[in-house]
Amino acid sequence: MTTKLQYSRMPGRSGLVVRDFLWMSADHLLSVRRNPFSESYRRFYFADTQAIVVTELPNSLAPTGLTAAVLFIVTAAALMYTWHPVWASLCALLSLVSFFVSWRSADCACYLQTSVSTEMLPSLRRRVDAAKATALLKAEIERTQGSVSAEVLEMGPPVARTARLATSKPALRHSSGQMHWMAFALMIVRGSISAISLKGAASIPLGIAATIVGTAILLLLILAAIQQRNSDLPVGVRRLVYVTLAFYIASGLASFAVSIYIALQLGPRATSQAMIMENPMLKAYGLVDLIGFLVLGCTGLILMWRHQRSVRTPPPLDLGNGG
Amino acid sequence: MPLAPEHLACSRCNTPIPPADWNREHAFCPSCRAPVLALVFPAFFSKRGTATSGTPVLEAGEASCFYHPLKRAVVPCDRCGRFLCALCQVEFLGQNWCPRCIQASSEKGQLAQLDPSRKLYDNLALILATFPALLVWPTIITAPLTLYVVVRYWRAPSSILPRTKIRFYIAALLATIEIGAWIWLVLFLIYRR
Repeated sequence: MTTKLQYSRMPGRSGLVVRDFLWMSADHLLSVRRNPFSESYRRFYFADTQAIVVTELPNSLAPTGLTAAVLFIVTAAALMYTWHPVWASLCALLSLVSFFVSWRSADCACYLQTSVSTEMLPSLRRRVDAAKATALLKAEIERTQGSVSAEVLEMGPPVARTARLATSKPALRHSSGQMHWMAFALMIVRGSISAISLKGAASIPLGIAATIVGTAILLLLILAAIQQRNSDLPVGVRRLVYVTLAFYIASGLASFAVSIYIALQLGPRATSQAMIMENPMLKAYGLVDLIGFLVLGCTGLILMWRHQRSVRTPPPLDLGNGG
Repeated sequence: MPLAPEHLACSRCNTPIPPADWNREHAFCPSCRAPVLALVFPAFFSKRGTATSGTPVLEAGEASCFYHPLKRAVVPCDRCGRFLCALCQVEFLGQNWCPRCIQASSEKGQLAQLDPSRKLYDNLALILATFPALLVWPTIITAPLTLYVVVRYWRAPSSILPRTKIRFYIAALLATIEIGAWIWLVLFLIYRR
């Protein structure tokens, strides 16, 4: 008796060589792990499923991967400009890889609990997929078991199961990230000033404005780095602050190096500011500086906006129950 | 196999999620403040069933279990017809099965519902037909091997998920081409003189 089962594909997948999928049958969920030569199966019957827990995780890899992708593209463009097609192709390839990694990186974890085990569903590692899959699963499980009434929920878990809240880990301090908002916004202003200078409209007032804004960014970034310690700001934002500080320092060092290089190259022939500004090295530096500030600033603002949206006025901390 | 914890925990910091946040959207972990969605179903609140060991035979002449002669039979196996006690009775696919029928059917690969894994012979054939071709010379061995795998495992149970035999067809085609190319090369070297 070979029974042919009817399975339908669920959202979500993970892995490249060893891949994980979810399939749904009339009475169970099938978790499939496939390598090139075999498949292994785990079955979770709807009648036995006790709970599904989805936790959003900080996606620290996404902003880093995106930043790396943009920097690789800029480097590839610069290499093409200086006619190094092989290295430019390599950089373009690396930017694609970085983009793919940031696009596919995990940002949530999903666990399914039965009476005998708690199993991770590896294919549900993206929030969008997890939301779709849990909606489908919830409907099927509730069709099999019915739904939990409000009275049962109010009573809480069975007495034997009641667990005490863990208080070993201190609660995180909420931070609105004002310093971050200002720093990232000023970085876009700084990038815009660089763009104006690069278009040939460099002037002394513009240079003074760039210096003031740059100093303000540096101070704000240092304050933000202090403020974000033990706060509930996403890991992505926190790391971006450090990346930005590193970029700022690298930019300053590069500026110094480019200045010395131009001075050595032109020497006494540098008769006018226009001649210095036309130097390709200075232009390349200005372009990288401009893109760096704009990309980091925009990324920071987007991450801050996402953080603000995800906070959604959380309920007040209730640590008293754990005593 | 790890036992299920007796509470629902945040996957990030393992802190128990308070019951007030169960089945609630926009809930947050009380410790790490990560957004959490904890869906709880009635099975979580039900008591765990205890296995029955079967009732002993009370009167002489009463039907007893095939596997436990001292236990009273409660149902016959829907596959083999043997009488089963409450301990041996297994409800499976809406029928009463005895453990031996389940084991035998599972070993024969007849129960897709119980298979913990399946070999993908079609993938194996396709890999044998393609990857060695990159180095050319290994195909003198792998091409016939591919054809053997295709013929030997054509009817073997493949994935329990929807899957066609297209990989077998492609592997057989590529292997035939590779064998044909080798035959042509040998004939060319012989008749060139």
